[in-house]
Amino acid sequence: MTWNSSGRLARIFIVAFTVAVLIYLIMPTFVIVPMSFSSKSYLSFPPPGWSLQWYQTMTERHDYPQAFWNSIKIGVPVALLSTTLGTLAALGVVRGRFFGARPMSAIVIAPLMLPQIILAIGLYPIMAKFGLAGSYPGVVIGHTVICIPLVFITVAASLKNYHPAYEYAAMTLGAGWWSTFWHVTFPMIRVGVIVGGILAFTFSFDELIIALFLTSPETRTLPRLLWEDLRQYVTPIIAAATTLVLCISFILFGAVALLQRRLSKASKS
Amino acid sequence: MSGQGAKIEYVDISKRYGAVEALRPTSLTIEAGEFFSIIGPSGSGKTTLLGVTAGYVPPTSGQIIIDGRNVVGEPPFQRNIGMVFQNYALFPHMTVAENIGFPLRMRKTPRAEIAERVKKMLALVQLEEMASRKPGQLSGGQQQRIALARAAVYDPLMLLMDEPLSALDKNLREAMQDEVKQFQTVLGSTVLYVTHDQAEAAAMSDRIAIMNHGRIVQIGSPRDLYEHPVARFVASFLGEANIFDIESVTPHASGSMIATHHGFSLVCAASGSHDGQCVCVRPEAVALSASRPEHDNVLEGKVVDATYTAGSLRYRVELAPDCIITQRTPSVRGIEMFDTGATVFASWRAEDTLLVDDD
Amino acid sequence: MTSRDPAMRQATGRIWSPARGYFVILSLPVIFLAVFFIWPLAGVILRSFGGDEGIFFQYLTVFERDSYLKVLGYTLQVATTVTVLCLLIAYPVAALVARLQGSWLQLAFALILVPFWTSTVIRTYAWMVLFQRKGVINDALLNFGVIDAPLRFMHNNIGVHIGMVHIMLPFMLLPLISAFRNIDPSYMRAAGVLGANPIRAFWHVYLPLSMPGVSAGVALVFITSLGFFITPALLGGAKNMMLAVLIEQQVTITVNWELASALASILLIVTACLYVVYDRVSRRAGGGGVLD
Repeated sequence: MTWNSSGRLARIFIVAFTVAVLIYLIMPTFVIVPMSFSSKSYLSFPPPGWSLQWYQTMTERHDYPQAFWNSIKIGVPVALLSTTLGTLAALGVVRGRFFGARPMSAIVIAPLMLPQIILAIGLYPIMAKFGLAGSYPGVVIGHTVICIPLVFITVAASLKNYHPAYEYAAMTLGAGWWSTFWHVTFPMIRVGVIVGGILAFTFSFDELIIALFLTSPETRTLPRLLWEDLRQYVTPIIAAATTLVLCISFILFGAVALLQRRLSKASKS
Repeated sequence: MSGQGAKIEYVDISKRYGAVEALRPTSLTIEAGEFFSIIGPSGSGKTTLLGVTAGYVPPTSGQIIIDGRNVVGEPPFQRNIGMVFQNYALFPHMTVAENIGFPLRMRKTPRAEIAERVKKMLALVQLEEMASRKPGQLSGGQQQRIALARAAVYDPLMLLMDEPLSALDKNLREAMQDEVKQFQTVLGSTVLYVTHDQAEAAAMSDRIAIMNHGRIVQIGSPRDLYEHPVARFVASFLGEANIFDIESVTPHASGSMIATHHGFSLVCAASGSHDGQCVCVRPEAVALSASRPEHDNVLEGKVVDATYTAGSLRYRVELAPDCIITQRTPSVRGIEMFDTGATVFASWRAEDTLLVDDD
Repeated sequence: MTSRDPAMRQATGRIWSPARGYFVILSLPVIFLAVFFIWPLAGVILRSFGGDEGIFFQYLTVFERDSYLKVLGYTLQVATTVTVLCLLIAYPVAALVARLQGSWLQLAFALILVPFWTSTVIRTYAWMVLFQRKGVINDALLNFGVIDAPLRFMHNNIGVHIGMVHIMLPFMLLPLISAFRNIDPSYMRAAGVLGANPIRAFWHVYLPLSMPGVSAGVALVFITSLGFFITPALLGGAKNMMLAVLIEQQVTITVNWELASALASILLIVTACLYVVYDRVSRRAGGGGVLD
């Protein structure tokens, strides 16, 4: 066999392997979607018949709608809070450039690298002490700690994209701190801030471990409800709820993809 | 909009970053309406001096007195100083008119007045039709003019310029030099101009300060600095210089007699001691001839190479092993050229043998 | 008035500087993280030395009991296996994807990012559906006659590994693709022109140049795998338990906060060490480190 023909064989093999891996990556998730429309209560693929009964059952039960709204009620404040704090942290670390900026960014990023179970069992006694265990503020704070690094990373990347001379220029032209931020810095990092906020919301919307420890049955989030149901029985109601979550995630994913495409177009022109 | 330039005095101003002395204690006065340039290699402290003046670099010690008021400690947005940045720093999300109007907006100027003053400024830089464009749609030279207009629209006490022409190509840069100079003349503002390009500084400035290692080495008019450099660094940073190291100096009828390391005896019009000094001869001061001329200083050598560039002829002549001098003459039509390897005599006047510090 | 004048010194003490302003800006997030991140972690470490039985009792328990040591060992083993599997699978895929252009590249990126945006609970649920006794995989295998009786995928090693590799694969693919895209293809062409056969060119040129991506992916996958909870809890068995699952059980079922804290402290220290080592290595490699 010559190098050429074995090279072609290798190439065909790599292409086939890549296609197989990409299918492995996305297929399992989408198996759930048809199952949510199944007419039977057991899970088989393909479903023996089609119906919307599981979506109907889901909306008629009180726990699923409640958990869904809880997830939104927690995710939105988490996005706002972590966007604010993460942006401030990125500004301070990237633009401040004072002594200790590097260890500082290590601490800001650390919550994302550490296993969430550690933070969960650390936060629970503190929240309990303040009477916040099981409340909305408790879980919002817990999620915000982990979401700050997500915003920090995207905003820091936007800040590194341009020279601080723009801010110095605004200041020599007479703009104070707030005017400089509002008229110059924010417009330049807007996409990074919005993408960071969406990432934070998505994270909070999908997060389980902190929610397991810091929510009560009244404030429990959708992932926690799914988790509790999963441990008992696997019914198509879960598939229906999951399909709903997937839709929301993909809408947000699409929004981020559009934003980033606009950004890369803008930076090219 | 004219004649309001301020007088700036620096008193022992210095900046230290940890152990690095970016700017040694420096005192300097810039007169009202003066076009003052600072030149020097990168890391010489010139950009630090600019940052300290604008206010975004806090000085370690000293005072900056603008029209009698010490501004050290004031934030940039209270100083009323205009600055043109190296890459202009025009805000990409604002139109040209919004960019120029920005400092007025920050000063809560009425809308109608902003519109009027922006229009006036755009007329001054001849870019009226670009008012609603974004900076990204302008050429480098146009962006440069908008940056000037933005820095000057609010009648600042002085204009700082940080290598404003370095991003432009050579031809445009020369045209812009005249425009910047004219702009300053019309407005009558005091300008502190920082560049590493000595020709650029010489073309525009009333006075120039040369900086090296965080301190000012010499201040003077462009002609002063070129004809009377005080130090070897100044002599070689500004244009070309032939430098000879000194062995000994003895008094002489018309000044002093200098023995160089390579064993030449040079006549110098000035008297001086050889301690920490060296000799500088400008290439233009040297004449070349095929036969030995009658002159104060005459040295025999061999042409190493000859180059013809627009406007001038440049020779390199080997006087001794390890001793090559440069000579330059205007290239006039029909001028006789020496071939490489030809034996020539380099000569110059005693007044052109300059004694400078050997820092 | 000179700079040695006391009035002047006082003035320079309050000099406006941008660094001071940014320091003030930074203080808000730093205080938040100090209270809700550093304090909880410190609490976990402190609690691990608590209890009535003595300071090091919990750690002695962990290292003396076979059942806890087994969990530590299993956690390291799963994290290692998952990392190696991810690297072996992701390397050729990333090499190919990195050479795609235009809409093919965008499609591949979308397919890699979709699972990234899908909740881990949901993805694990999907595997539960597929792995059931009467699930899709068993049905298919039975129909094609590959097997006679349904296979068990869940509550054992196979399920945990398939599920975790599925979740960690994008974390390996993305740094690898970005490293490959930074390799100038002319290097490989140069190696070919200089007479290296494809295998030697790969070994001496491509592989060393892709190392920053490999180390970033390996570190990310290994560190994340160590603390994995959802997938092992749902797909794993009672015999083989991962550390995070054990910690959760110690808190919610046994209500032994001290032991849970000791286990969490061990996990914390291992993770933190790996994080620091990885940052040092990647900075030395010129990749700028995770922090830059």
